[in-house]
Amino acid sequence: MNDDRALLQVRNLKTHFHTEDGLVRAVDGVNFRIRPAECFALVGESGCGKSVTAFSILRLIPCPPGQIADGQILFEGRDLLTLSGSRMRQVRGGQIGMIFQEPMSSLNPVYTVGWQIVEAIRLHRRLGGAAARKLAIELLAQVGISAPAQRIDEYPHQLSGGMRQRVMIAIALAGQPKLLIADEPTTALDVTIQAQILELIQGLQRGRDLSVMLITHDLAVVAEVADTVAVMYASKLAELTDVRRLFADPLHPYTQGLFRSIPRLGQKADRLQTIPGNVPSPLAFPSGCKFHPRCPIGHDLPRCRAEEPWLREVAPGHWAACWECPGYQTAPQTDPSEPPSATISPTPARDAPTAPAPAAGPREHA
Amino acid sequence: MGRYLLRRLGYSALTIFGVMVITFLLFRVVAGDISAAWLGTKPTLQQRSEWRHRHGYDKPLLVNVHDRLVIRDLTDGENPLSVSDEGAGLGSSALALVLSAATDESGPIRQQLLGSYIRGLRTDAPIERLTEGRPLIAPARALPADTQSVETQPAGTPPGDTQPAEAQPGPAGEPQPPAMVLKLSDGSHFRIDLCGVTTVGEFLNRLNAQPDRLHASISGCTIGRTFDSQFFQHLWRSISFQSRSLETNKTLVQIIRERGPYSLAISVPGLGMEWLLALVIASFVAYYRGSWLDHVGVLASVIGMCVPFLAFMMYGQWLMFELNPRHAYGVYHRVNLYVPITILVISGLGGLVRFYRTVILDETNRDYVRTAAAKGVSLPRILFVHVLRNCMLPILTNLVLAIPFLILGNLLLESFFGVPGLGDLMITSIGNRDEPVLNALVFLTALIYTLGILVTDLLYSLMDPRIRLH
Amino acid sequence: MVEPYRHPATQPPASPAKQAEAGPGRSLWGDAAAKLRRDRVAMICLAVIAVYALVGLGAFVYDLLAGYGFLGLQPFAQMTDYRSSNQGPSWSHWLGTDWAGRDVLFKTVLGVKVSLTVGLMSNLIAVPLGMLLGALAGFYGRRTDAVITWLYSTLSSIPGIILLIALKFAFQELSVWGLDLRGITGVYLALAVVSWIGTCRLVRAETLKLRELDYVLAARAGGRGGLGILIHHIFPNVFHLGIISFSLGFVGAISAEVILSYLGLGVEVGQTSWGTMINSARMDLVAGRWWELTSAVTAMFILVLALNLFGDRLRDALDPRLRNV
Repeated sequence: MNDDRALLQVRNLKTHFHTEDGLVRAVDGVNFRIRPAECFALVGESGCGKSVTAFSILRLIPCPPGQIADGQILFEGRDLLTLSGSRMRQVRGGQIGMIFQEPMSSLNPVYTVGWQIVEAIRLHRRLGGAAARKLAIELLAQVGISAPAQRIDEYPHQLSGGMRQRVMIAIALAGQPKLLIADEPTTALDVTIQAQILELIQGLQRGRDLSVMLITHDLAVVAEVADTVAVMYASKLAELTDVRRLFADPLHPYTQGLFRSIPRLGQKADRLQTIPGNVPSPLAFPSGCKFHPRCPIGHDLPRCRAEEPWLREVAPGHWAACWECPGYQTAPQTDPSEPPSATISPTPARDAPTAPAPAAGPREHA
Repeated sequence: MGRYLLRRLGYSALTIFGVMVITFLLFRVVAGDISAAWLGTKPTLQQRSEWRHRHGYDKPLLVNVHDRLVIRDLTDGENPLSVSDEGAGLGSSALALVLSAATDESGPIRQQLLGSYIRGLRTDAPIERLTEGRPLIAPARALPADTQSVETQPAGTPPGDTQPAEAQPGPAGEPQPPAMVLKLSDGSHFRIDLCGVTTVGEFLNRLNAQPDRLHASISGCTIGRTFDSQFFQHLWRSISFQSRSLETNKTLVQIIRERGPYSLAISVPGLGMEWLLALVIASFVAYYRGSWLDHVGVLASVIGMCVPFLAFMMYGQWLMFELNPRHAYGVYHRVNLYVPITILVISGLGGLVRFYRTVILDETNRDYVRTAAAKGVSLPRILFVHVLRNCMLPILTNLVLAIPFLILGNLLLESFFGVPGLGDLMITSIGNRDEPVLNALVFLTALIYTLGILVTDLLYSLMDPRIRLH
Repeated sequence: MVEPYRHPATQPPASPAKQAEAGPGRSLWGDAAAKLRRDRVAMICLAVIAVYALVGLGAFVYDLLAGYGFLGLQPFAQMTDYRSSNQGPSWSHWLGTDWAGRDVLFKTVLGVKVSLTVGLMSNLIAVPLGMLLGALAGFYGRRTDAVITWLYSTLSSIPGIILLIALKFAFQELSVWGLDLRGITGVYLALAVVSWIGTCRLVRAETLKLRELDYVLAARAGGRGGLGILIHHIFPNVFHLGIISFSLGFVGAISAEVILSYLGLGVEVGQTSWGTMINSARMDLVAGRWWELTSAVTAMFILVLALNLFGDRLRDALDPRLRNV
């Protein structure tokens, strides 16, 4: 990972939904970056906004209720949010591909698998009839489907769940994208198939120099394949670092709580400790830090109740958003969506003794 | 696939049978006796019986396990056998005898008089069984010893002598004894005194007093005649389309040939344009979902749905009347059909657009649409290639199930605009209680509808690859 | 490594944490009612329907009183006044008079009563009947289901209006339990026969689903008999379908009655309804007399519109999945 240029930079992304019950701030200031050939995992419980983040990148948010209210999504330097409709369509599938959670309903039931792959090929590569079909068969082979020349003319309902997901991957890769977004790709599959699909994704990533953004709620999956992990809670990022460091030393209380609730080999415990309470409804977020009502540390600390923390680099390459996190008060205000400079130590200009950040709310731009 | 087809055909046959049962119940059982409507103000019992017999309404309802009183004319003359009353006029009416031309087993066609269908008629049954409880005679009174109970004309009376015998005058103040006079086909008369008759057997004896000219008997029920009932006649007529109109006496096939084209001339263009226009508008509205176009479209279709059809019809005709009165009614010119067709289209658009829009929008919420968008497919292509293909099924179903309306759905339009189609016929046959026609039309509609459902099921399995490999 | 911690709730009471959930749990009905209350269109429609209901009630009371001659009120049948027939709208007759001199506004008001009663009565018979048969068919399955399905497939293969006409034709000679079926009572019955099918289908489909749910299986495992399950588990969960069917059927009944009365198969001869008004005003338009037709049509339009819109919102509030219905 010598190449520190960012493939994708998400800056201060805010996606809101106007519902009849009020304004839902599903994503409220999210910053991160994905490097080329990196596997980036976005982890969180259901409802935290991780899928919405992924959809926002490809601008697949339905626009009457939804709206990308603020932020920038820089893909290879260009802000996707400013692109015209037709250019964005070229990005979708051609530069960024996406696969979804439910492979059965995500494939059109009335067209053959081959037809759907060829459609993607025709959109992004200048290939006609026979050549496109040949490529489609090749793609099916690459995603591990046996007898691809027969399978290509089958319908989605004739394939198993694992095979359908492979077809989805083939469709997503047909346009030779540089980034593949995978929204919970294995959640709807059996455990054994899960492992196969993950292996496939990993293999494809290495073979094609592809970046993968993996959305999941399963820490085990993250441990398997991810390089960098971002933990999301209630529309914001709580922690962001590489996978080893996250598992070795989680800093945010939420992440710690997640790890406490997973059984570990060699651990002796009578019962798993859960995080008390429930994920807050986006219509009624708590004041201050959104996690504070459930936080063992901050639930009655005045600062946690009043002010909302944001991501700061509390250790080299390790960002967390928690007032009580060690190193937070002195952390430099680096932007996790910016590629780090060549040295990994904080730059001298920022190494000043701290006064608490004057702004009461989160500040996003470095 | 073949087995599926067979199963569906079997179920359809069961449904059609059910329809026949329902139409039978409605038009024969519940509706009761319609002879009064056809015979004017004061039909006599005998006239009614004759009419009912002619049209098969006197048969037993379900199965024929009934007996009948039969009086056969053996004189082999030219004139029709008939019966009349003298005296109190209760004889033949009470017996409700009707004429029938019948072949008997030994060959030549003879004429006979038939009584009502009665279960378990036996010679020792009281005479009230034959007369449906109506008293046939005055209370039996003792006759003078020298009066014969039956008087007949001499056998040699020349034909043409139509003098009925004089009624026996009874003691003053008492009702005259009832008597029946049978006028045989050779012109002679046969008077039967019904005084003192208390059982069917006695009546038969009096009738059989001259066995060389008349033969009266009870026709027992036979296995062969078990299915000679109204129900089976109804079944047969329904399936073979052999009903005849009571009014015009035309068969159903003739009627359809005469009136069908008019109905089709309105329905086919009307419904076709309606569907196409609705699909186009609905796609348009769904494409611009959320915008003002969508809201206007939805509002317009809701309003269109809520305006009563009668209003469309009447204001439409009035409009045409203002423009060109000659084209507002009747069918003497092709242009006259444009008005009902237009009204059909406009009145139906509201509901259809709403329905199609819902179907299309529901499909656009499906996951595969998201996948197609993520692939970079353009919005028009998503709508027309991906979504519409999936919508075809409910839309086609809706279409096929409206086919019966091609024939009969425009009742109101046809009658209002004077188009002599099948719908108009249905309305007039309600008014004049033309039961066979009404019955046949309802059955026809149900038949076409059931076939339509069958066709829809087949279409489903053809069009939806998920169902194809059954 | 992370040490176990003590949850604040197990400690001596600290500051009360704000409830993570927004508001207490609400039932289907509470939710639906709240949603509807917020919906302006639905509330306006409800108001319109309430106005119609009041008017209808007033007409009903009038009929009742006039029938007994109270307060010197005239029953409708006697209100003819041929001297002032076919007059246009004026101060004495706001909507004009008909061919027999009767006040059109009054006729329209009477029509409100007829329409509302038809909608009410026919659905009061049809919906419970449909629910019962649907639940039985869905729950007991097999033969019961086969018979009931055959019954409604057969009935529904005759198009509605035609079946109505056929039923009314059949009823013309009939009187059942002393009820004269030639008039409006026959309309109630005929409409009920035609509309129970829709409810039955809905309830049957839902019952089939409910039957397989875990809590039903648990109840059966716990020894509850069929009837008990039907009453306690199935029925409460299909009740909202009954409401939805009622709202759909109400509008359908009104339209059907108008058409039947127009054809002369609806109300009895002396009575009036919007259908008979439209029928008697059939040829009036071309003669320039628009008031009777327009008044009946407009009154019907507004009622049907309000019912449709309200019914839509109601259906959305109770079960958005049924938007296709």
